[in-house]
Amino acid sequence: MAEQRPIISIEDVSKVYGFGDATTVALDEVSLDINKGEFIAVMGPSGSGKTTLMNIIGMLDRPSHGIYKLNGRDVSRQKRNKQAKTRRDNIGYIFQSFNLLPRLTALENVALPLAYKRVPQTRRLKAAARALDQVGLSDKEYNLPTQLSGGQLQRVAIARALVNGPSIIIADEPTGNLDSTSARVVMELLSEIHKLGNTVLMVTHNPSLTRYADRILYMLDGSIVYDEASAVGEMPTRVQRAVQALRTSDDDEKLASVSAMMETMPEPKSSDDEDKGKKKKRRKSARKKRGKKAKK
Amino acid sequence: MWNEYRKMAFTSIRGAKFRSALTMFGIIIGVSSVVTIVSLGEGVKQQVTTQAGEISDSLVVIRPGKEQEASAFSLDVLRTYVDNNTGSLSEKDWQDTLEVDNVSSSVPVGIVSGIATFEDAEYNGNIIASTARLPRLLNQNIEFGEYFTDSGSTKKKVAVIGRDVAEQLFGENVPIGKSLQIRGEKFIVQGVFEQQDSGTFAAININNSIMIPYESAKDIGGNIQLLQIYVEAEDATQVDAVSDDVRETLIKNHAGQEDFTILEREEALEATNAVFYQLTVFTAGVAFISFIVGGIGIMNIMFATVSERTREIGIRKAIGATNSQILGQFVMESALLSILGGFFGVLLAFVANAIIRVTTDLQPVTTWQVVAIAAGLSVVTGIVSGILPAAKAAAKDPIASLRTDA
Repeated sequence: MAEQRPIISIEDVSKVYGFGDATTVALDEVSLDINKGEFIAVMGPSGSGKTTLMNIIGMLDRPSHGIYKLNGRDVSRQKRNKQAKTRRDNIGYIFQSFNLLPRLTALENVALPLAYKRVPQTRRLKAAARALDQVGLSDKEYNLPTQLSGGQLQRVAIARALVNGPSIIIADEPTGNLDSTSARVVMELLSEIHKLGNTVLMVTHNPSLTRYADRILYMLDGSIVYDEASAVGEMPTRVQRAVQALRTSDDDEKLASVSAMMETMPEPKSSDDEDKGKKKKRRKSARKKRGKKAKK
Repeated sequence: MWNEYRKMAFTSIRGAKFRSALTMFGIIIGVSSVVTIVSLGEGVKQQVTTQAGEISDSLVVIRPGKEQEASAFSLDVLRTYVDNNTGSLSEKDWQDTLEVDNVSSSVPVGIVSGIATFEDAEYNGNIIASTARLPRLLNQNIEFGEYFTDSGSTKKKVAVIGRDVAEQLFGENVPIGKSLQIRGEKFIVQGVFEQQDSGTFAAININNSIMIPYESAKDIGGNIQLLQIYVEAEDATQVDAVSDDVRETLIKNHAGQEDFTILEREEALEATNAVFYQLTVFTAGVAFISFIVGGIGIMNIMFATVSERTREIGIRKAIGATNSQILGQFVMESALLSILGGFFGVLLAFVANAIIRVTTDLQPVTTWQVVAIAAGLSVVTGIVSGILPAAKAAAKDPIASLRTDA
């Protein structure tokens, strides 16, 4: 695995918002290689830059600095229309809030990415029907999103992400809005997709979900502070410890458990005092962001 | 891909039917009014030119009053006109034109006041006093019976009637031999005119006219207003000379005043064309304004739609729509709104024309050119007013769009 060329290669990628004193660093010179077929869980508190990283990998956003190579080709400087095509052909998105178009049926929603690829209608609907069958919803083809449960909606969204045959699936907290039963169905699906050889990147707040992943990234203040490989089906020891410490299913406490986990981790080595000062600043801004999100 | 845009556009237009209908309203009104006005103009123009074409080159028409712009729209126009210039042509004028050199005939067209009755029925049509030559001048054939002649029957109380008169007053097609009453005198129906398809240059609708000999009309008393006098030259080359001589004669009769109008065929056509040119310019102005207003309405709604559907745009971009595809989708939506508006506008215009045809004497003619221009204008309006909102949609940042609640 180590010999093969990484499917995703990020070198010193930063994302900065604002100017001057109001500058917020969302990503701070992150470097990351991801190989084909990995299932990566990205964890970290709100405002740590997980979503920004996902958006850059998913090409919804451009890095302020640094290079992003997809399949060995630098895509971070592509024109917008070209980027959209690269995204369409290589990346399937799954969102926390499903993001299906309310006026289209499940089948039409799933077929939509193919429409943008100019696949003829009959072929596209057939492919969409296959994808829906793959997620076990072949009997809901003509239901509108309002006629489906949360778990079913997320499965439709997964089918939509799969229909293009993308090599990379990006799931931003896919189970965040789901009850535990639906969440398990969704995770099993993602796991299956992974077994079929796809690369999966998943942002999650739920430590127990990391057992599906074979590599775990912890992020804090725009940096990857920990990068750990773990066997599928097992929770890394550090995560386990955190979960045991706070054995609850409440969402807020899940977040707390992540923070607890973070506390147990060693601070990434900082060379001098100046750097520490920087870190503090960043933490402040991260806290600010957290406050904003809470208001929302 | 345009096919896809069309389907998407239909989906979202269907999703907001009432709003879409309101948005189209501007274009509907614009298109329908333009098509209706142009059809009306075209109809009248065709009637006028056909009639003018039928009238021979050697004819000079005298009308009472000095007209600024010679017009020949309808009897109603002329009637109000005559009311204001009562008596400016007299029987003497008519008789004198017969004396002018190179005149082969002169035919008066006089409106006789009164209402025709048959048994208990009344008919409020035109009672026209004229001479035997009139049907020939107007190229009007007699379908049943015959027209009265000048010799012998001039004093007879006979009438030749139009088809409407026959059907409505007598309730049959050929009431020959029956008699109607005008001002207490009986007139025997001697002939029925052929159905006349369009209004005439002479502004007389034959279908609802009752023609009686001029001399008989004088006998029953009442007022005969001379609507016009047709003077026929012996041949077409003399028409200018005849019209000059007639003018001179009449000015003498009218104590030096020219309170009448002399029209030659060419002049009449020119005058008509001038009127229609003005009408066309006016219509173009109305069209221009209504399309601008309609276009602004569409643009307004498209801007609202784009902000409202920010999240949809974000989703579409996240699953692979390019900026140009988003642009295409929204331009298509706006164009489709406008095209649908144009379509319904044309339909509305056809309905309006049908109503006009049934309720009035006018015969609107809708040419395919008018429909094509209206359709083309709606397409252009839709595209032009859709471009800005669509560009706004295409430029939206996908991440920010996905975060909005809309």
